[in-house]
Amino acid sequence: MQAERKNKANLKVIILGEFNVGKTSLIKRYKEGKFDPQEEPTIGASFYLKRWGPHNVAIWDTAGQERFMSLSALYCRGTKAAILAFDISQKDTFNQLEKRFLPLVNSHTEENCLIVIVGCKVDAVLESNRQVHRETAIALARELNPTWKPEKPPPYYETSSITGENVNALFEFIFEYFLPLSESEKNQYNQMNKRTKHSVRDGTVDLQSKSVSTKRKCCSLL
Amino acid sequence: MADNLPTEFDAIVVGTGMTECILAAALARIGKNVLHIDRNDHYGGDWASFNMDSMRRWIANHRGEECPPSVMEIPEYSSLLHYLSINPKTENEEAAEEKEKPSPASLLLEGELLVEARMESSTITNVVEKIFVREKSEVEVSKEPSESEQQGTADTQQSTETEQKGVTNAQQTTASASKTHTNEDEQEPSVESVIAEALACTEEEMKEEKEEEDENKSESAMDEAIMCTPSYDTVPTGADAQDTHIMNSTSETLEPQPTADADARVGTEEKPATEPSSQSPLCDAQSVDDDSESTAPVADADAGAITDADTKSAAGSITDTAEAAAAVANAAASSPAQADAAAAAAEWTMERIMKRWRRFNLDLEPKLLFSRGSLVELLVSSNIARYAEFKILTQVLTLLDGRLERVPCSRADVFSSKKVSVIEKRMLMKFIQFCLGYENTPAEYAGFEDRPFSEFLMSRKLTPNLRHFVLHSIAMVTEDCPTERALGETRRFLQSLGRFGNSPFLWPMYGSGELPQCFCRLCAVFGGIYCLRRMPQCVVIDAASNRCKAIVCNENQRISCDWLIMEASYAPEQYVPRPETRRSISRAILITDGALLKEKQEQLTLMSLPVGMPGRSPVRLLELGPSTMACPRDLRIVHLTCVGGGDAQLDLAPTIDRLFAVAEPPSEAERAAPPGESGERETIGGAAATEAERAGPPGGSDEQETTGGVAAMEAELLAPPGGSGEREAASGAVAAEDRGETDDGKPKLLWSLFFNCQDTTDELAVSEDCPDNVVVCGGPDWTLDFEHSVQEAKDLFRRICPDEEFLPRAPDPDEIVFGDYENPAPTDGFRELATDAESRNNNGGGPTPAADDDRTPAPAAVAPPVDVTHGEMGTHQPDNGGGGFYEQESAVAKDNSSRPSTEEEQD
Repeated sequence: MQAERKNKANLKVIILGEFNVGKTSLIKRYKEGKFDPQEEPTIGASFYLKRWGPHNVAIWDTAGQERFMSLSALYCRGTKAAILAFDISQKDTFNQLEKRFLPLVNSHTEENCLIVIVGCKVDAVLESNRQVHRETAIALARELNPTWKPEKPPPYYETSSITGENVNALFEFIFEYFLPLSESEKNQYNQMNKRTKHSVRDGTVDLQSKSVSTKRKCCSLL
Repeated sequence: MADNLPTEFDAIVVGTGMTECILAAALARIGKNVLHIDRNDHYGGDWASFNMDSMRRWIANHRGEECPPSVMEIPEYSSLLHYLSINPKTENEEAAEEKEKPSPASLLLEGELLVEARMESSTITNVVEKIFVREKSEVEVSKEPSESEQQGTADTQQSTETEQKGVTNAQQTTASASKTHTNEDEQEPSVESVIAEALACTEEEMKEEKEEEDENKSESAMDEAIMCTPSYDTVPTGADAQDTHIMNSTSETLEPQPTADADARVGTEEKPATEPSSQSPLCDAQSVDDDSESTAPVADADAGAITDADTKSAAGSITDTAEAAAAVANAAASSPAQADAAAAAAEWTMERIMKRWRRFNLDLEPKLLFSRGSLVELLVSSNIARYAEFKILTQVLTLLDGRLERVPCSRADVFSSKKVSVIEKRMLMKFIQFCLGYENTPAEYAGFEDRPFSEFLMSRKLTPNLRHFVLHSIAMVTEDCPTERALGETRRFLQSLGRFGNSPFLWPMYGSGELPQCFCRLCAVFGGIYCLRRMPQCVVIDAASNRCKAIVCNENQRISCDWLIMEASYAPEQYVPRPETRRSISRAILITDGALLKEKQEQLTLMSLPVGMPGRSPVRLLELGPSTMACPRDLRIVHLTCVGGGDAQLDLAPTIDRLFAVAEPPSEAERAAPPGESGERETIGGAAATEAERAGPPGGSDEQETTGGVAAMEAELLAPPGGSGEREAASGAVAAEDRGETDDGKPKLLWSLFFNCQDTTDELAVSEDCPDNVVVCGGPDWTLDFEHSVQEAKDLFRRICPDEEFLPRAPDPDEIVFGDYENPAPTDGFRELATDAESRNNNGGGPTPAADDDRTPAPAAVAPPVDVTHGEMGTHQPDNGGGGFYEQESAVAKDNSSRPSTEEEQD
């Protein structure tokens, strides 16, 4: 009923996963178009609003509450899409998804929540030394989304927040799944995205931000 | 994995109740390094809200029983979860950690002492759960279950069945049979054709069953019947019960036939019975239903009466044959006349409730927010409001002369209320105007300050109706409440009107247990570290200075702190002595099958019910519907709260009996047993009576039918001569009569939970021994709102950080600029942003461009949306608050019932 109101998010996306698998970097990469090597754990960012055509999407970050297994139900409320992120180079982070985070998703998100499995830090592994195989992760992605049609590509992405690989594709896949845009809306969106990358905020230019336009090329997956 | 916590903090906050959370957030917000822990595995402590699964485990936990496994661990719910455990830690891991623990004493430095903290909370007592529905019905046929749900059931059976292979087939066929009929429902074919088809189907079913029987022999056929009942509970128990039941009933009704044969035979007998019934138009559904009963091996009137209670789901059937017959009944119920009744009467069973476990959000301490209360102001000013969503309470009810009436709150209400005469309207408006500014005209109540409010109301010559409204529903005080205080309460209510809508209260979506978590989130966002299942085992005190230096937590880790903030239930006994007697909050949580006051739109209801005992506070009732995420469709959650004599059940049961149709709860064994067992009688009997009254004029001639209605009639129709059916129905009727009133229209009570919660804010005294840097705060108090917590948190914050700002506004997401700042020191950055945003805000602009759009005034006839974040802060300050509402309301159309229940904002 209030869905059309401007800053009510039309979609809430959460990201879950072990401490230090790169959840915040992933979101920041998408939002800012750049990798932030800051090593501090998530502080100060509760969620991000992203314009998607006429819609608002809220992307929530854990605020570090997952670190000691203390994520709150609040975090998952009203969520239609959950990104379960793990570190491809650490098998344990993958195993923890099912054990630790899935119960949260299953008890507190909206019913039939889309669960997207994301392997982070794909840039850091070679096929030879990766610890979680693509097939394993895909199998999980399919299993967790039982209604997912087999002919569709599975909700699984391998991303790198450093190179930007698959980052946009991941988020745009989720948004498009829930809030498909018309062609013209998509163009608008892309336009807007470009502007954001030049750090135009509230109509002012942030002199402190470095130019990031050059980085754009590596994530033009759509 | 088992990360050790960091070992140094500015402040350790123990307990995740409201006060602690506000305080934790406030401390983190100004840059303090905060550790926030709780002994439970959930947030909120005694303020928490639970889904049905967690709730039942909480109950078991507080009754000292072994926790039932989470539904997520039960195969039924786990086609995708089968390997999950809800507890993130396995026992092995815990055991491993156990070994490494040093003793607390070994962690002491010189000159330090250990003071033991309270590990166990003892605030919750008298936990009593009552279940008024059966554990399960044999066939869950309702319009609601989606295909996936049915599929789920089938899956379950597959997974539960280890021994019985062939049985699953039978079950699936049954499921598909009933599905077919559901489809027929939609087409609404003539009764005859439905029955004909259904019958055909039954025959098929029977054939299949016979084939199976051939294969499996009679014994396994019996098992089959057992396995066909979907089960989330332990299969063996249910199976046993049914086992015996089948034996009994068969031997009772059909002479000495072996079971399986009996099934088949009775099944065949069904046909002739069905046909005549289709000709009696009054009770198609019921009579077909009867047939399904008679088909059951039982052929026993007990079952008949029972199934009638839920006209549609035809639960009486025990074997597959009977299930198919039940489908017949269901299909027949689709005749237009019966369709509605069928939809409304889907039997609620514990299984059906538990299947929807995650849609419940049951609050231990439900609290409302006054629209202009301090919590709303705090949520807005701190920008925490964006984490939560709110609904506005839509009606305030009262019980006037035994009838439920809506209390006119706003001017529009007053003028449209039929309960209030023209003269009264004027009187009430005048009184309301006076109350809003009562402090300015002390002469008006001079001499009454400390005298009872009721006397003052008399002196104002208010009519009895108006006195009732003002005293019980607006001021919500007892008759002997001193006038001055009551006027304050009245004003508080009136002032909060109109800020977000036509009632003074807001209710958080998903329950008030969400609010502490909102503050926790802010705390975490500002660097607070969270760890559940962690609590202080001991407090480390420096003997010389008597200051707290650290805690030793239950993982035997020493964590030092400058400040220790503890909820009272954690505080060492020697610091916070337990008073001899302490106020106890009596609580009941009910699940009912409908609203107290039936209306088209879902209502969120508050009611204050005087208990008629001097000195006793009224019982506060809060009714929540699915739109608040409190419960699944077609149910209501009712919270009852009062300050009582110490036993929730004694305190609240009378109120429950007044308002709800309460059957005798069946005992454990009876509940698990299939219909027809004696224990079901009363529950179902009562229900049958209610159902009967709804179903319209009884068509029969027997005297017993007058109250028992359809149920009795049916019992008669289906019962073998002299059968027990009449007795059953009659007992239902009597049960209703005994209560001296009909239960017609009252919502039926399905499940209830009673408990007492100690009001630790009462006489919360800290002993002189308590170190200065140990701060103790109270748990939930008995009041309606959060005022006490907010005030307590503010006071304590001021004690800890006298010169700091209390929860300054946190930046909006869009204001958070990441960046390539050389010095990312987040707190400073934020503070600037916050200040910036504030100044913008004060200039009248919204904090973000988007927010401006929200400020467009709502059309006059519609209540403004509950937009807490960007509420009229700063423009409509309290001084003209409620009064303004009353003035501006004069233009409002009378039609308030159609006002949308608006929800708040955002992310």
